[in-house]
Amino acid sequence: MKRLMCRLAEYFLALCEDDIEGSLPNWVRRHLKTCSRCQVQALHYRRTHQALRQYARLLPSSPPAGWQPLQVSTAVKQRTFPLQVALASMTGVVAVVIGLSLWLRGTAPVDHVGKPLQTAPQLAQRETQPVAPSQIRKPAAPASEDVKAKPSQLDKPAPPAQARPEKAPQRTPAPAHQPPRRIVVAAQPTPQPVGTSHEEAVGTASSEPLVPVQPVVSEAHPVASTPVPETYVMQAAYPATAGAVE
Amino acid sequence: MDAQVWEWRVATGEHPRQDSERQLIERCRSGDMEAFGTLWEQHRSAVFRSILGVVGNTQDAEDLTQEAFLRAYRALDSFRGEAQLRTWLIRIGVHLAIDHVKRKHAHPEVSLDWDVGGSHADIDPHTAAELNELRETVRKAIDALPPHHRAVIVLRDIEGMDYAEMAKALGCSVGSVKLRLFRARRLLKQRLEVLLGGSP
Repeated sequence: MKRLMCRLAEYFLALCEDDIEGSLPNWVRRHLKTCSRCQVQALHYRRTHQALRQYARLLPSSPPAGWQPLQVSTAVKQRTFPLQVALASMTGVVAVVIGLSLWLRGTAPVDHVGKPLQTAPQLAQRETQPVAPSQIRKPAAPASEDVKAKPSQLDKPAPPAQARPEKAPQRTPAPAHQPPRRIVVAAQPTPQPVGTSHEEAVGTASSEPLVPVQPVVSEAHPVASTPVPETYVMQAAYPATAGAVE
Repeated sequence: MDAQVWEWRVATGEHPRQDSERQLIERCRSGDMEAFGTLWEQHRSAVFRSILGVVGNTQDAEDLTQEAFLRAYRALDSFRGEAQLRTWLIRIGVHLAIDHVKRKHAHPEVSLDWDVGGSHADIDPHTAAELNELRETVRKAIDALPPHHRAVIVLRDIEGMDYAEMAKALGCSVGSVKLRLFRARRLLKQRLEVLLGGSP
């Protein structure tokens, strides 16, 4: 109990400054009269206060004469303000330029980077241009009886119910990972009829959108007089362009 | 100052010095550097002494005083006038000094670069030597305190602030100020007992 009283008394002894005994509570003063340990503590605190008071008197009251830091601060303030404005404006301009360039690069097609841009109408016109005759595959020769019997049918477009279900799966390009198929093209031993000229064949096929066909290695055009083999085996890059698929 | 305004201020109990200080602050906010120079002349000693009491180095105290006023000028718009300007400036300076001491904690240095004989020319050499020894001892004891304890010792025993002002300056409650001051003085007393051989 006495130890606790000493600790509480020390709190008041530490916080009292000028008149330790005069500003203490009554119970602390009564305790000080009976406790020799707290009397020593009070003496030490009093001397500590005196030392601090002397130390405060010895401190320089102001910075040394001739010290003018305020002018330096003012100069810094005046110099930094326009610099900040200039930096902010430059940063804004750079950000706008970078953002514009990124936007242009992001909207351009990947395969047209570095090439002149094409508008949508130009691309549509490019797709609807007629394909050169050399790039159009020759259609499989029809049976001679059908051609001779109904030549007027060549001018008409083929009925979609007959042509499309057969040709549509052939136009779809094969996946890249599939190996090329072996194509067997049936040879036509009979010469082509007069009515089935190249232009008519093109006209017949014009009812459907023409697909450019390029890498056919060779085609079977046997001479009528020479013996015709039964089959030609061809290796086509695009199997859909070369006829029937085994 | 206008006589009617003065009478009105006396009648309303408004302190004339506070009003002039408020005017100086408003002029500073509008960019009047002359008004800021007036504030500098009024408060630089208190700020410098507070900082010097914490850091114990004149050169560092000069730099930190300059930094404190520069920060105060930049943050003058945030000064709401709830505390006195002096308390607010000392608060900025003491916090700067505490941060400075924390940064230099790994490399403690005791720089007693002001001389008692130089500032008190009327003191005889023997007394000046004793005062220099006492100052060095107290300085060492203060340097051994944690920075926050140094601050309360400086504000209370060197600047003579009351507890409410100290609470505003340190950003804590009055009870915290008292408890911190009690611990600081107890540590300081123990340190001085060791340094002075039991007879401080």
